[in-house]
Amino acid sequence: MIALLIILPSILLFVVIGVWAERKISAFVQDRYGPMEIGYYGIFQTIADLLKMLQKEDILPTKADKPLFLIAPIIIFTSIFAGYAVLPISPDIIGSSAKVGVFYMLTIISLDVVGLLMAGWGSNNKFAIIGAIRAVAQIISYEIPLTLSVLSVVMICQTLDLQEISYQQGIWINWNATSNLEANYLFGIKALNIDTTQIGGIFTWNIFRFPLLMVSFIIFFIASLAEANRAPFDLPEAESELVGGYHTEYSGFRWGLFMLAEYAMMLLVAFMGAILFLGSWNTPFPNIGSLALANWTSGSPGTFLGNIVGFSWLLIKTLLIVYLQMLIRWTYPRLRVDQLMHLCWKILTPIALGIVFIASIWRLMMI
Amino acid sequence: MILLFYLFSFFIVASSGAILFVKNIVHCAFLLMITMLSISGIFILAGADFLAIAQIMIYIGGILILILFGIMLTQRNNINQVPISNFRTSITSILIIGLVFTMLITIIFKLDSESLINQRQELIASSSISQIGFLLMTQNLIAFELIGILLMVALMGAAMIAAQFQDKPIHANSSHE
Amino acid sequence: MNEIPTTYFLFLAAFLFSIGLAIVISKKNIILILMGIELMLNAGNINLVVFSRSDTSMIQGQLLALFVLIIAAIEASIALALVVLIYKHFNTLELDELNKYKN
Repeated sequence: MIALLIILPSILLFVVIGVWAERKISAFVQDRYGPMEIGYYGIFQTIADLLKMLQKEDILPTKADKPLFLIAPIIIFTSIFAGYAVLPISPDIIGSSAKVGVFYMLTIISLDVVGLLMAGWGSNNKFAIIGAIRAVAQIISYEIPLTLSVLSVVMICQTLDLQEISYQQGIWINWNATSNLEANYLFGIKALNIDTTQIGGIFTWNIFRFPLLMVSFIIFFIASLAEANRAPFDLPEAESELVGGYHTEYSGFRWGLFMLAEYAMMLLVAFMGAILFLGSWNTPFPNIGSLALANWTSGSPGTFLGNIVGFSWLLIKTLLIVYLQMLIRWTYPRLRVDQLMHLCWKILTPIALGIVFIASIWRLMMI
Repeated sequence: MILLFYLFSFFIVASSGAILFVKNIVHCAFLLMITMLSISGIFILAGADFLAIAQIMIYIGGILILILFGIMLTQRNNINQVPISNFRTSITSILIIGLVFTMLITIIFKLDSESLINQRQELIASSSISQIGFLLMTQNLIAFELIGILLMVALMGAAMIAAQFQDKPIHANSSHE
Repeated sequence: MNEIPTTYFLFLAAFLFSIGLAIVISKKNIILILMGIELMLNAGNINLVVFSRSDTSMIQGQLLALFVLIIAAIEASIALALVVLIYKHFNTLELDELNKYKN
């Protein structure tokens, strides 16, 4: 219950801040100022936009398929919001501690594809159908490098439970251990004999437990950009080609739901990247000798301070990834559809497959 | 728990019954999605969590998209009137269905249901996924490998079937990208 | 999970199976018949999973249900590839019309 009360307002708050941040970041990338009128430095711009959007008329085209048209945005937003249920926000707060957390999140991404198809078909509009089919083809193609890169992490961590993956990446690795106590080695190589269990910090993050996971993280990042239909993969909503893609016919609050779903998806994949690769709520400062930075900057699980500190570390990492996503949107040109498929099938998938093989052998040798 | 079971089974019964009577085929596909989601809920209630999420991913994330693409690519003219059948065949089908249902119900009533008690409380509390993984790698290894080969053959087969479009000129297809 | 008797699940699976059979018998569109076949396979899956609850330690039922799931996906994909090919050739998907083309 607590997780729901924390997550739902934070998503809404994130959308409000995220739209403003995107306009500001795009402005600074393009050497201009962005919204400056409303509020100090333009902060209330999004709220003004929200108010404008809420009082717009809800247009329903005559020949549109009524049930499909009306239900599609609800399905998209609900399925993306359901994916937040397994995120470990802090060492104690998690919505649902299902043992198959990672698998569940990958499934959620496949669920909102059907909602996209519903929106595109129900609009009874050629541009909408083309946009929807392009979006579906892009999403189901990029599910494969996404799943493979997540699989390499799962092979290193030996579990699908997101809270356990978080515990393994820090100094609290043996907090819940009942039988055999585990130890983290630097780069995962036992022969080097550098035991980093007590060192903690950045040296126990997943990208250091198996160094090729950095490549895996890059693949995950690119594939998640494609999953969220963000540039440079935003062919489905390319404004210069397709008017609006699958949300052409929507107006007022239903269009707002689509935007909400897009930003929620962006946040969800950023959360996933931070949790799986960057050591979710653990601190990046290591314990070097007598400077026990890791112990100072992370509270122990179970205390109130531990939860707050854990949540803030996770938030910092996630917002860094979101910032990177927004920067990339305004830096790179849009990919054409055959370039998209070439990137996915000929470049990302073989590399991800190779990393999965090496990850399985690495974990075996580490034991 | 029983309440959840009644809720899911109500959704299954309602949406699969509606597939029989709805005329628009795209609506039938989305009713199938609701059916699959509810069946996944039933799997969770029966203690198979990995299987439930695998069902969502494979059926809704794979087969349903294929079905929707198949409908969108092939049903241009008669999207709204799917002819059900004439009166005589529908009476015959109702009789046959009633017969089959009655047979199944009598079999269920003759079951000795006291011997079907649940014996695995502790295994249900933990997840089934470690057990499935262990069995796949030791006891059912041959089936696992054969399914992998079958998937690869099916992939190649579907690609070869689809490649036959390239030779013949088809009429201009605006939803084909 | 222990309170729901097995027979409740079996009733549900029987009902689902008969509805799947009704769709296969009484519809004329190939894609609708495919949907009916998927429903029948799912009814069998429910039965398998429910009977694996009474297994002492192994979960063979769930494993077999997983294999059935994968094989259903394979045959659905090949069936749909064939359906699109049939439509390109004959321009119709009704079974009665296709029957005329048998020779």
